[in-house]
Amino acid sequence: MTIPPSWSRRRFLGLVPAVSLLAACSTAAPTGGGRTLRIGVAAGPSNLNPLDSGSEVTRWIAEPVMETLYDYDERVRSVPLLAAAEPAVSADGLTWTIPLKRGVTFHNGDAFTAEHVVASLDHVAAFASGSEWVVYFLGYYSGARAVDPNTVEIRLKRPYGLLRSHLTNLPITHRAFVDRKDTMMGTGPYRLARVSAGLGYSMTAHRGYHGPSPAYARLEFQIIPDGSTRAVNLRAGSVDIATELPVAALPLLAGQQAVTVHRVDAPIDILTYVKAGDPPFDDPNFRRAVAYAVDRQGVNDKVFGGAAVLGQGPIGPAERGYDPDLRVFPARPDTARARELLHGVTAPSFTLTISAGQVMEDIAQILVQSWAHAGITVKLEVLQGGPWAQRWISGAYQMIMNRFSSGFTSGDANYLTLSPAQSTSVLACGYENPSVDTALERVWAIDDQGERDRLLREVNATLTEDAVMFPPVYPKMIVAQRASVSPMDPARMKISRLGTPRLRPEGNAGE
Amino acid sequence: MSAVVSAPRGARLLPRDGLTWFGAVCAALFCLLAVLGPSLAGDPNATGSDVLAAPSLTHPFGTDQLGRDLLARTAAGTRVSLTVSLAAVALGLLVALPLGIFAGYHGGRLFDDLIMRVLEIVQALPMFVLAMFVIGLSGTATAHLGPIPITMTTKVVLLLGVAFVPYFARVARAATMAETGQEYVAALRVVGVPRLRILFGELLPNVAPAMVVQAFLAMALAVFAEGGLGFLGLGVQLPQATLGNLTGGGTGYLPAGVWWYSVLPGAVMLAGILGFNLIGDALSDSLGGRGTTHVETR
Repeated sequence: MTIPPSWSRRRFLGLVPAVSLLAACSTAAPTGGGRTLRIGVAAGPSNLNPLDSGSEVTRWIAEPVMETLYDYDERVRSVPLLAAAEPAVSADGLTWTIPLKRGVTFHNGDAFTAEHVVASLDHVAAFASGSEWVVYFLGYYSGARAVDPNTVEIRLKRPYGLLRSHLTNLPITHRAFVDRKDTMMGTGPYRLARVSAGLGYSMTAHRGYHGPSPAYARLEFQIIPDGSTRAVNLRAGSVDIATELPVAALPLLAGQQAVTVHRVDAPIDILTYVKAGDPPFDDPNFRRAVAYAVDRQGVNDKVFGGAAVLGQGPIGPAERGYDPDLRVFPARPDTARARELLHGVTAPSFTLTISAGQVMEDIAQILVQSWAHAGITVKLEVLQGGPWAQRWISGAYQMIMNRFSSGFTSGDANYLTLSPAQSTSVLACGYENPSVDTALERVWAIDDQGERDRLLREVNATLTEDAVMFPPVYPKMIVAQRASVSPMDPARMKISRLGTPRLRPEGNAGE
Repeated sequence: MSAVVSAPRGARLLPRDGLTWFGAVCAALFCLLAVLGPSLAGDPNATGSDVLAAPSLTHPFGTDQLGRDLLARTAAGTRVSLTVSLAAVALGLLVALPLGIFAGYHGGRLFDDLIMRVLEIVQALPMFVLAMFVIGLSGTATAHLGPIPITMTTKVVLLLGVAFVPYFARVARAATMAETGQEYVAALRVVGVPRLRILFGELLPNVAPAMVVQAFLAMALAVFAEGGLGFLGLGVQLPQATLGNLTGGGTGYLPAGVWWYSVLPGAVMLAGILGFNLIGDALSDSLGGRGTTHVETR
């Protein structure tokens, strides 16, 4: 590159601040409305297949496109959607027969039949698929077959009561699309029309939808990585719904008559656990010292603006088995107690591996500082999503932390989050407690929800007291919407969904 | 025998124009903040209850979302920036000078061609692309080369240093070729002065002024690159403050009117970049164009 002779280096350098100032002053012009629902999301997933990924954005995009055999009603009870009725379970509990709804078509015009359900189930149960669901199906799922085009039969290796929950959360895709990661094919009210890498996803109404006609002609998921920018876009009317709003962005929406901010207790976990089988966390006192030194109040105040619930064990207030009376660790760090528990440990230290992102980085930095006050040196390791997941699955970590929405796979529970505590799980963290193993086995096997909740409470208390899983807080789901859209359904948000298939334009907006 | 060429007539140590003085002041402030700031401003990681506070007497640069003093963090970040930049430029010079001088001394021969073609391959990769490629492959965590841990700071220094080598080597080669054509070099050969003595005892001092100019310009580029990598989350990792991660971390708060979080560390970075650039430019002028500031076209 040669700078033209008429432009001296000095002249160019002198212009740098002026150019920077001009760039800072520029703003994006708002786009127009129409019968299009526009949703601002933080990221664009690399894998669009919701059978593989339970990431929030993948599932939010999949929500209007793909459907499940059963769905949640307004009271979060499971009711048939693509299934025609409740499953018929054999006396030994090992065979489930499900009648399917007739007259349903995929977006490509193919009829929805039992073959597609079988393909979807086989995909998530195969270890090679890399699906998050494999943790649920491994060891239980034996196979599935199409009895006839409208009946599917699932065979199990052992009784598996939790399967009913999975059938309510597992999206069903076209059998030709089970391995596709770049697109979605479903039976939902909207079909995925276009994927613009790094920009967003467009959907159009599926005119042959088997349920009520879609209210919008188009749906657009726009990728807006910065939370404040999502809030500003919502305020300006460039999007109708803004997801994952950080607390710091909420003042931007204060006093806006056309905007409603929803703060909902949802099954969102700050997945926080230690490699209990390896040093230094194989020492229960070391684990407890670390848990006592956590500044829960600091995380709540500074990262969540005081809106979260202080954390104790792995189960949060929106999840089955939560015990509001469980109080093991203090809100503020108890450094004296931590130092007492660390007596005899020379130079206590460990590495905390987190997934990159403003919220996780802020939480981690507060924790590192609070542990430093207790004399624990913590090295922070920030990894992108993919490398973080590799560490998680391979078990190459000392303490690991990430944000995880359990609702997409478990509804109002967080079964997957608990599985590392089970010594036989593929995600096992090295913690060995026969009573926890037995309790979790029963949680997965039985279909008595009351008994399951009781067992979950026990497991939660044990894992808290043993300091195996100790999230600093239980965050809320924060989503904001414009008044031009019908109110979002709190029941859907309680299971981390946006409820986009049922949203419709309000008033004369959107016309 | 000394063959150092004296500075051309008219060259002066103290510049007369205001822009150069402005650059010198910017660079001096940048260096002062890096050297003294961390000692005076306190712990950059200490959190307080006053979050996202605007600049005040207590917190001249304001505070961040965790209540940390942004002056302390900016000072710590400036120290990282200066250290990384100095180390990268030193590394680049250390590798490039011998290569450039050897290539220039053997100009037009196989050895020269070999060195320059290899360096052109390295040069063909833009610095950021090279950095993102390497960091993408190795991750932001500490890597291990056998028993030697390679921290993220070391990775950034290595990447920037390697990226500077072709530029430094080309300038060193060109300057050496110009010197090799001088009569005194032929005379040195005739009287039997050893080759290494000619290269490093006689040619190196004459090549040095051009390299000093390049070093200052590279310092500016290194401050910018280190900041850019930090901004993208590919630089020195948290909780260590860097000018890049401060500027990047603050952008999310700009729409809420929290301008100081991004702007003040960004201004410090800009001061460093402008300062080193203007000093390099002034040196080039005062050395009579020895250190040409134009990037060579290929």
